[in-house]
Amino acid sequence: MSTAAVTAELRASRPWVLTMSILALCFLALWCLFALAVWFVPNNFPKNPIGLRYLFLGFFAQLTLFVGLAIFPFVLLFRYALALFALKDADDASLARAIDLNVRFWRQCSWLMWGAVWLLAYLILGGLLVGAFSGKL
Amino acid sequence: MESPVAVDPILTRLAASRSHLKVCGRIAVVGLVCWLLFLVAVALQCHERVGQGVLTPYAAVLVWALFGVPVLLHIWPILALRRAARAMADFAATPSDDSAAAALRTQRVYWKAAALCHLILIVWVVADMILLAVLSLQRRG
Repeated sequence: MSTAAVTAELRASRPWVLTMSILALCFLALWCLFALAVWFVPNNFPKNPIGLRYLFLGFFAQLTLFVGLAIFPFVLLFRYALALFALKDADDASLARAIDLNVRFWRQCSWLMWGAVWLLAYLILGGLLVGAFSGKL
Repeated sequence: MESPVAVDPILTRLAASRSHLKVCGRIAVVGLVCWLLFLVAVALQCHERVGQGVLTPYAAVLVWALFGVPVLLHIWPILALRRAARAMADFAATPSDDSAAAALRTQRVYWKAAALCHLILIVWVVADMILLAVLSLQRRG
């Protein structure tokens, strides 16, 4: 199987992958600022009912952890972009490196997505529980 | 499903991302549906605030669009991601030079959609917030 067509496709995706990786890292930095504001500006969490306060605290603690873990696939995406720029014609080593980084990025991304599913489930179930116990539902 | 039997061992490694792409695409659709429900809730809240006289209709549209435009913009890369996952599944099922190139071509379309979506999103959010600030200042002064 010839790898020339694959190398050409990977080369063509270089600007978009690099743009997206830089944007992802910038969004992450912005999110860190937001998380700092949430944790350090007083009175951000509801005080009453008490269950809602703990739901919020738990949610933001997990959200901060989730965003912290997102650093791993985002850094991998940046490394993938750099690997695409290092691609050479008929060079199996550079192609293998780019493909490995691609696969590793998608693997870590899918793990992160499961984390997002957990956060969503936590928010919905927690909201329903707090609503039920506080008599609002 | 057939196991990958690509001739080139380097390209065979690409098929390992098949299930991960599928998971990412499916969860992204679930997330999108949740955000669309959130948009409905925001629209109802905005409608209520307009009725109470707290927001002008123009400001309400801008508040809705602050969330609405980014969420709707995400439909584009999510559809591209689903297509990329399907193309990767095709490559894993019938490995060939063409299907490998096609899988990476659809991934390129995804990266392009994702990058443009987020660039437009940043411009939109900044523009929308400036418009809202101007409206707020006009109302006060």
